[in-house]
Formats: sequence, C-alpha cells, structure tokens
Amino acid sequence: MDPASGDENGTLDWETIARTHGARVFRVAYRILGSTQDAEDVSQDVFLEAFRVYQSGSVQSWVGLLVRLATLRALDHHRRKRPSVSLSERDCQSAHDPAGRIVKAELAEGLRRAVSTLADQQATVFVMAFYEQMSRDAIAKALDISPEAVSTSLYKARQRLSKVLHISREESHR
Amino acid sequence: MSAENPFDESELDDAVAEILVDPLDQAAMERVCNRALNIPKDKALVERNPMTSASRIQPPRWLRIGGLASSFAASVLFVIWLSSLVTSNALAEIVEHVMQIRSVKFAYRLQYFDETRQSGTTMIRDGMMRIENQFSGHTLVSLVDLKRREGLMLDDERKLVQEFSGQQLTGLNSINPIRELIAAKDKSFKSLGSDSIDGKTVDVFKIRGLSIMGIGGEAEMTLWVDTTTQLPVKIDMLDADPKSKTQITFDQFHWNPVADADSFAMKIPNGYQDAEIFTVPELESEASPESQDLKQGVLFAGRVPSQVEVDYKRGTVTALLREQESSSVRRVNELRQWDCGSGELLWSAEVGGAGDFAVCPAKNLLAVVLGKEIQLRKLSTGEIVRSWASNHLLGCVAFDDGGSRLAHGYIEWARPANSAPPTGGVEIWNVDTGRLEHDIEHLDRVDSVEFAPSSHSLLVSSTNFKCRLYNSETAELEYSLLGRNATFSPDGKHLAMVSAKTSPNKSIGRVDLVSVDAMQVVRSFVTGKGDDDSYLLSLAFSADGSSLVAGDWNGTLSQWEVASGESTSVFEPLPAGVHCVRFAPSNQLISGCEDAILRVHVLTQ
Repeated sequence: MDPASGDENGTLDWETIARTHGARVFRVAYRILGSTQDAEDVSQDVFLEAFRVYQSGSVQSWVGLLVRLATLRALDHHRRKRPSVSLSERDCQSAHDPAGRIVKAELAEGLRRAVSTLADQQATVFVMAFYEQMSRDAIAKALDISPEAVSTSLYKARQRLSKVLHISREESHR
Repeated sequence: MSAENPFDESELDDAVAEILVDPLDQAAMERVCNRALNIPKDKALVERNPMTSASRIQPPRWLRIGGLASSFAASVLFVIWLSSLVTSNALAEIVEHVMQIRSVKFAYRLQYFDETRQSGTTMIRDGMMRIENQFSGHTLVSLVDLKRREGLMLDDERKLVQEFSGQQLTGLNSINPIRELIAAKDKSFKSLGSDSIDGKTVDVFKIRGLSIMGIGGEAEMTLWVDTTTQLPVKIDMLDADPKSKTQITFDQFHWNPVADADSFAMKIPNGYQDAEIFTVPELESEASPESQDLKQGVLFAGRVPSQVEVDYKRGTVTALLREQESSSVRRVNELRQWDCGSGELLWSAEVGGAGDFAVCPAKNLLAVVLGKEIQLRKLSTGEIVRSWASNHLLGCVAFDDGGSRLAHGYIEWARPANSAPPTGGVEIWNVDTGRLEHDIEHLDRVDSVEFAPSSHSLLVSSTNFKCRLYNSETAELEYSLLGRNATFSPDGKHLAMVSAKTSPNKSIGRVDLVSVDAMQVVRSFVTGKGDDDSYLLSLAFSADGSSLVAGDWNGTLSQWEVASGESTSVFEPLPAGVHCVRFAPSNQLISGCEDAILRVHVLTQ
C-alpha cells in the first residue's frame, strides 16, 4: 500500500504529497492531453486545488483525489482547445513507416477526443485502469466506490470509447 | 468485439497502447513537483481563486455555463464535488446531467396525511428560486436568493411582503428537488425498471434513507428519469411514518425554460406593507456542543444515547445517538463506537432515522434498522457490508449467538391513523443467505426481540406486558409470560423482565426473574424510589450473570445480586430518563440518558 495515499488515515505533510504524486498528476494530464506544456499547466492547477483541500482537512485517498482532479481538469482543458501536437510533426519522426506511424498517432488522438466525451466518473475510472494500470480494487478504494461500480463504469467507458473511435474512423475514411 | 459491444475493442486497446508508449518528459515532471512543493510558500498564488482567473485557469464547464450547481454556496459546491467520489453510477450520471442545466421549472405538491397542504410551481435559475403557490386561499410568490440565503414572500392581493433569511429558508428550500436529488446522490438505490410518462420512456429508481425538510431520515425517493435526456421527469418523496406522513411530489419538469430576469428580482414593489404572511418555522438551531470528561464519568455528551451495546471481546461500547426530544435541531441519527478503557472514538456513521441496532461480536457484525431497511455493518469499523429491505416498518433487532440469524420486530399502524392500536410481528432472516425464514404475524406491537443463548428460543416482548417465547426454527409459540422488556441471562437459564405487577408506590419499579426451565417467577426485585413514576426501559445482566441492572425513565439506576436479590450498588438518580444500561469491562456500567450524556459508572463491587 502506498503510504502517501492517505489510506492509513494519517495526516501527511504537503511535501510528501507533492513528491509522491507529482509525477502521477503530470502523467495523467499528459496522457489525456498529449502536450507537455498543457500537462504542466493543468498539473499546477490540480496541485493548487489539492492544496486547498489539504488545508481544509485530511483526505481519505490522495491517489483518488489527485487522479480525479487531474482527469477532470485535463478533460476541461481538452474540451476548450485541441492539443497542439500536429500529425505533420510525427510524420517527420518515422520516415521508414509513415503510414503505420500516422495511423497510430491518429488512434491516440482519436482516443483523447473520445475520452473527453465520457462522463466524469467513467473517465476517471478509465484513466485509473488503463493509463495508471490500477486494479479494480485499488480504484474502488481510491474513489471510495464499490468494485462493482468500477466494473460498470469501465464497461460503459469501453463501450462508448469503442463506438466513438469506430465512428471517427468511418468518417475519416469517407 | 463481444456480444455486448458491437464495436471493435482491439482498436481501443491499440489506442491505449499508443498513448502508454509515448515517452514522458522527465524535466517537465520535475518542474511540476517543484512547483507543487513551492505552493505553500507562494501566498499570492494560493489566494488567487483559480476558478476566476481567466488568464490561466478556467472553471469546470458546468460552472461556467452558470448551471444549477452555481445556485449553491461555494462550500456546498465543493462538498458536492468531493462527495461525487462516493456516488453510485446511475445516480451520479443523472445528477451530473442535472448540474449542467441552467434553469428548471416544475410543479410541486406537498401532502400531509394524504391531504394537499401546498401546491404550486417553482423555477430555479442562476442561484435564484421563484415559488408561486396557493396557501390558505391566497396566491403567494416567494423569491429566494440561494447564495445569500435570503428571500421575500409577496402577497399580491393584499399587498403584503415578508422578508426572511438564514434558518427560515430551510423549509422553503426543502421544496427544491435539485437539492433533494443531490442529497440522495450518495445513498443506496434500487432500479425499479422502466415506465412511461407522457409518452416518454423513463427509468425508475428508488432511494431510501432520506430526510424530508431535514427531519427524520426514513423517507424514500422515487425518481423517474427520461432515458433519452437522463433528466428527471418526476420525483416523489415520501415519509410514510404514520405519525407524520408527508409526501412531496415534483413533476411537469421543464428544463432550460426561457425566463424573464425581472421575475427573479428581489425588489419590494411600491405600496407593499411588511407583515407576517406565513409563519416560517426555524427548523434548525445550534446543536449542543459535544464533549467528553472521563474523570467525571462522561464518555460522551451532546446527543442522546438511545441504545448502547458492549463488545466485551474488543472492549468497546457502541451507541445509537439522536437529538433530545425537546430539541428543535434536526440531524440524522448516528452510530458511534468508543474504546471502553481510553474513551477514544473509534468510528462514527450516520444512520438516518435508525431506531435500533444489535451486535454480534462473534462475527464482527452490527445490524441497524432504518425505516424498512436492515443494514449489516462491520462492528469494528461501521462499514456497510450489506443491506436489504423488509415490507414492514422495523422497530427492534437481534442476532442469535452465532450471528447466522437475525430477528426484527415490526409495527403495523392502523389506517386511518389512530383508528386502532398498532399491531406487529417478527421476521427471522438468515444472515448468510439474506433469505427470510419466518414471518410471525398478528402480534401486539413488538418492542424487543432477543434470541436465547445456545438454544433456538426467541423472546418477543410487547409494551402491553406480553412476553412470548417462540421456537426460532419453526416459529411455533412455546410459552407466554406476563411482562415486558425481557432479557436472557448469559447462560440462558433465566430471563429478567419488567413485571406486570406494579408496586403500590408508582415511583418504584419491579423486575421479575423467571426460571426458563420451570417458566416460573423465582424472584422479584424492586428499584429505588424515583422522583417520578417508574417506567423501566432497560434491563441487563452482567457478563457472568451474577448481577442485574435496570434503567428507569424516572432517572433511577438499580443493581441487584441475582442469587440473593439484594440491592448492590447505589447510584445517584440521573437528571433525566435512562434509555439504556449495560455492564462493561473493568467493573463498569454504561448508561444512556435523555440528558444527552453517555455515562460510565464505576461499580463499587
């Protein structure tokens, strides 16, 4: 168990929280946004909000709080503007298999757009399961929901994302 | 592709893999950590509200739209946002949809004992609420600023105006389905399937354990949600307590209607006079401060311990806490557990309008009844393990020794109200399977149930001095006794009950000791003299069965040696009625009193 999660019902100092979870917050934001600069901006916002929570009292699970904040703020950011990475930049990086690289980049971008269409809880659960590779029980504990609720959210998220990716691909082939 | 998902999930998996292999900028991660570490040192950064700083940070979408969520104080918003960490799926999504809407109009009807007391239409928009309703033949318009917690009531016919604020708003704000829906978001709910309203297909949900107008905690909400828009079409809240049956129905929802801003303006029209159009009760006042003073024998002070149970194995005491009957404060009941020795609070849990609970230390289980629901919780932590619903209003509960069975009494109130005395019954459940094993019907109102230690007998007591012993496996009646509030001795060879025979001096109570084998009264005990008439509420044996203690509504505590019948410890009368009393480890006694104090008494023997 990650002692910095706060699950031990202890009151952690801010330094421990920042050092332990800084990378995680950035990682979540980056994987949603695909842009280092945007991820840095969102990460700062997340820690500012988290600091206010920290000042107001103890937190059951810092993992749950921070991943959820990072997910929601990153999604807000994504919905306001498109990520700045352009496909043409990625083209230049793999000349020996341009078609494969472009397809993969499109997939990643498509997934980012699709995740922004999910309901907040589905998005958070999806990010925790697939981007952070957390187990169902760990997610349930972090978000303080039942494991069954995690499974249901994940199932719905996968359904929705698969559908959106499929439709997006169909439209791009027309 | 699976039978359930017609779309290719391998594409999704490929997309995830692509995102995961994308390398992370280590320098950027370091910068994020360093900035986070420096936040406490940068006061200017912390004090600037990120939700209003347009240059850098945008508020969440639902807040920027000026949705209904912005209608509540910032602290409420924050609590709602945090509380969404613990919501169930369907309700959470519905509430999220609702909070993205800017305004709503709906009709409401408030019924008391099936009679309509108030009805009207309400519109909520941008933190303002406008209620138009009929009351005592007059059309009234109420305008409420939900953020500032102030409002106006206008009687256009008589040109009267009444201003109100703060706690007076509680009643008006209760006629607010958005508030009720958000309050229900964290509760357990049940899907009742689909229905059709006005040609629309709707999903129907039932949510239990709610409060109407901040009172009770045993109300239930039925929610009809349009499957297309995921927005409520109808909400019905019902508190079926036959002593105060209340129902509020919200329907004819119109989401995002066009609204004239002037219709929400908090202006007093010219020519209107101040008057008390409507007496708005103040439903909440300051709650009593809570405290503990072990040196004075006070384990807890602040709320009435209506019931107490002791776990000798873990050395803990668990109490069900409620407000004093004289209090105007309305808070949900709570379960709390303390360490008997140190007085440390181990856990607490809100339990709505729960009236009774039972413990099974052998299985680390606690059962609490709320309205028609039975909740199983872990005794050591208070966490809910499972819950199920009965068809009856539940009153008392007990585990058998091994925790494999649970019995609860229930009450059936006459309809119409007070046309006949209430009746009752007992249900026996298998805890492991959650299946109902027996329903013993058509009894007098059941006040307490208790399984005999190491046998199959179930003791059922009623207030009219009818004590019955049933075989808990067959539900057959084994014996009837005259007495009430009966309890078994730890070895099951005796039971003590409040005697049906009264003392000539009404302020003195009487307890009978019955031999279970012979089913005869072998000894009687009398209590100390109280200042008021005796009404014994609680009896308890010590862990070794050698002592018996009784708590009385007239404030007296009495203890006897079982074998001789002699009165042992002498207690000062307590200032209010004693609801519950239990022996505790280390030669102590725990009492719960209507003066809102949970006391620890050190026994002299």
